[in-house]
Amino acid sequence: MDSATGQIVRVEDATERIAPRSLSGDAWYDLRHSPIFWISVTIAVTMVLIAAVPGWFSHLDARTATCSLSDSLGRPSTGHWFGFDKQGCDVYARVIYGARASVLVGVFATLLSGLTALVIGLASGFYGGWIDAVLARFTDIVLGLPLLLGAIVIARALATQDLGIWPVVLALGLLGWTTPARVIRSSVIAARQQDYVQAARVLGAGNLRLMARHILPNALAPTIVVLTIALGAFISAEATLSFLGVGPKNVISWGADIAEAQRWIRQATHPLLFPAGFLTLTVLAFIMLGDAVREAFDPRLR
Amino acid sequence: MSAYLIRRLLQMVLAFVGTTLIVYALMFQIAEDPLRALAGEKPLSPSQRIQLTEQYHLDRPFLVQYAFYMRGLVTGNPGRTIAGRPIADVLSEAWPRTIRLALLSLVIVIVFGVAGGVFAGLKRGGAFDTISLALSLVVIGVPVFVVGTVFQTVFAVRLGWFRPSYAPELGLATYVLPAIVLGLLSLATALRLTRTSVAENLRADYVRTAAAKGLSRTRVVGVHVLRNSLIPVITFLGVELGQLMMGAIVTEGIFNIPGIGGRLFQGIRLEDGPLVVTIVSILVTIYLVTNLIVDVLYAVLDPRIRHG
Repeated sequence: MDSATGQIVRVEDATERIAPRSLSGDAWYDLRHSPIFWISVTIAVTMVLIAAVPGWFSHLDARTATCSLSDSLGRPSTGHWFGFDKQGCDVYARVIYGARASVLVGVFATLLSGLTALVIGLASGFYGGWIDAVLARFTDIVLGLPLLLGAIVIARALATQDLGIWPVVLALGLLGWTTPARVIRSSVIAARQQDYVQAARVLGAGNLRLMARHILPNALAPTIVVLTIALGAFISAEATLSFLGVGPKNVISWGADIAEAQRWIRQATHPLLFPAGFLTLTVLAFIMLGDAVREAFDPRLR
Repeated sequence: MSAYLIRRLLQMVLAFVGTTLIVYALMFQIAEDPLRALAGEKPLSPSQRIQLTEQYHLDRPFLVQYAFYMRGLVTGNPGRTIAGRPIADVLSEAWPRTIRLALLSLVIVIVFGVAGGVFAGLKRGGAFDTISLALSLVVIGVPVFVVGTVFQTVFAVRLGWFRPSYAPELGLATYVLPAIVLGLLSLATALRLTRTSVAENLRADYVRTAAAKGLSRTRVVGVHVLRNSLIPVITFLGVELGQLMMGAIVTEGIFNIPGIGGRLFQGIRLEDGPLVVTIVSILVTIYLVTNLIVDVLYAVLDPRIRHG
């Protein structure tokens, strides 16, 4: 980008670089100075850490800990910050160990839907014509199936086998690719007509090389933004499915814990409020992160 | 216009067949034993097995099963629940409650979302604008069932302003808290949409012309700006009515309202396959039809769409 503008300014003082920046350089500059970006990154990284090594955050392993009914619905205290749930289990330990299901479902569902979106968006944007038309109709069909309803059906159909988080991952991944696919398709179409792509083609670059080296990098920023937001939405959807009773089986999950706590809210509200707070923080962190990155990359907002 | 309408209708028929086929295939074909998928973990007696096999024509090829099923759905005879009650009865009893809830919710969205959006748009950058934007971001991020359970806990259980669950003797009042929960997400979106639309239109040339003619500010805003700003909002609200029906699954479940969503919620918990498939198919149909109506409405309101 620097050489393209024809004015390369080298400033020796490394702390204050005034040289013209690329769009991504501008975006990164904006992001570094945005408190929302840092807050959401901190929350997201913490949640991923909790999901990866819950043992660092809680000395009590919620998967093996024995719960005592004498502690049922006990209030928060110094030894047990979040109190106890109806079964007498430590709410803090369950909240910490519940992060794994949410984060794993979010990450795998995002990977699956991202890959599907990449293949479909790239194919319809790059080739156009009848391929685009057929894929567009197919996208319409999947769009006609609301995420929640489709996921209920898929998760239910696979519920008889004990497959852990995978039915939910499959359901969300297979239904959640439509918006990213449309984003990728439109950025591919925009990039395809650029002069440098035509030039590469004239120089003899094949379709695969054109897509991988010249077109995809242009579609990357909007795709990452839409996938970050999707990650938050998938975590929210996983919790909703668990709440409805079609979530992952035999796994500690915020949604399932909230559903259980909801039955006893007349007696105690803390077993509901703590997992609900963690879930909300996590979902918001990813959605705000995506929003901040999108704003940084949007040249119209400059 | 008619060419556009025909094209759009054909697309909808395709989407309808595609989605119902997918739902049906997922429901019965993914599982090793479709009867197990219908009944879940409950034990099935041999007579129930025969009854379910007959009801769903499970001994016939897949496409024939699907055709029989769709015929039942379209002619208003979708079969019986696992417990043996006609599904049509369950649904006709549940519909009025869901419609009441959705309409009340829509009223709340229009009154607070659109009015708030106009207000925020007129005073862009003001305190109300900033606060409502931040709040609406939070609302968009929080899952509906968290909002529902937390509102139930705080406003019904702790503060005692509402009943925590459905009380038919209260009439429409029993729907107020669930309707707020159901409508909150749409309210936030409607507010943002109206705000942007009003703020954009305020800068338009025709507004300056109207002001230059000497019209009062009230008339310029109330008639000229509002009429143009509300076009995208109206179409959004149309789509939302379909979305509200979906959101009703969670909201009615939380507040124990025996509407369509509440029945689906119970159906999942009681592992009542026939009821779940029927309600899902009906909700998908509603979703598709409202989307079609909104698209057509949009084309009527904005000539650029149908020629595009």
